[in-house]
Amino acid sequence: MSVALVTILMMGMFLTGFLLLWQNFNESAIAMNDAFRVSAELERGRSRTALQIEDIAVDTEACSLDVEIVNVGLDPIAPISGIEVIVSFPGGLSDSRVLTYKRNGDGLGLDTWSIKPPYQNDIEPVIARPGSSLVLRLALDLPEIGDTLASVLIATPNGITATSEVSGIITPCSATA
Amino acid sequence: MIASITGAVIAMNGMIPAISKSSHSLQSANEAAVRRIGTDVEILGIASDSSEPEIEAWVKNVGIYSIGPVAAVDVFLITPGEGYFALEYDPTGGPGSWRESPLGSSWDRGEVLNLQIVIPQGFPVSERYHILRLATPNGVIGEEAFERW
Repeated sequence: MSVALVTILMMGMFLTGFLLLWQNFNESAIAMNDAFRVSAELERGRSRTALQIEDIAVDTEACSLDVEIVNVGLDPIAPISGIEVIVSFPGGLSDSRVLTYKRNGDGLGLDTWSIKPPYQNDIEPVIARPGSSLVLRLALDLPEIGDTLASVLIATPNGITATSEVSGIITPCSATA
Repeated sequence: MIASITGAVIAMNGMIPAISKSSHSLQSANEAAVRRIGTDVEILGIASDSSEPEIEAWVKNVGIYSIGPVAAVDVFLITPGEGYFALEYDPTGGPGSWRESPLGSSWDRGEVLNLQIVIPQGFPVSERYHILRLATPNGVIGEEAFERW
């Protein structure tokens, strides 16, 4: 009788332990699987994203740069407002800077970037489809004399970058519109 | 019979907490692994003027978790064949240090962290090509080669 009872108790103990470990392994496997899935999706998204700077036009009057970018990847770039724009001045006196996004019609803003609409009163796009191009208007504030060369870096929201250099900026200047 | 039952209960009291403890350890290790899988950084750009002792870098958190504390990030400057410099976090910006700008910045998912690095003494300034390497507090590494203008 006592042997049977002890056996039942011991079996119960082992079963409880097994269930505890099984539950833990199960939860861990689900969490690990989710993390792998999300991480793989992000990596896949990055491998399908590509950006190219097609052209940079300098508007000396407005102290701005019009940067034409093309989505040369397979996935849309979205949201466009999540694009990072960094301008630095190799060998120049001005500080490197991250420009902040400004919606069209939000008024004047120094060291900001906005989407230059192809036609007046056009609705501002929120995604850049594969193959499409966009013109980003970079409004700068360059009080120092002699920064004629700028390096423009554009990064997609998932961290894919394109860099290009432009010369011919006449400083000092400050964006007026 | 009483002795047997008592013995079994004692054994249970000893073993179940042990199983529970190892179960928690596994869970903690798993959580750390999951966090590491979901952590990722991308060095967007590095600006380094050869006439200045400062290097500026922008690093984006492209993972699914916030990274922090920012001061616990490890930053290294490597000049292939010349030297390997581990930089200290220093909000005052002493030689051989790095700090975030603005100070106290968070580094949430999708955010760009601006690093201001002051080159250390003995840094091979005459060399043109260098590597910036950084490691998040949980050991995820981002690395980018750069050229001093």
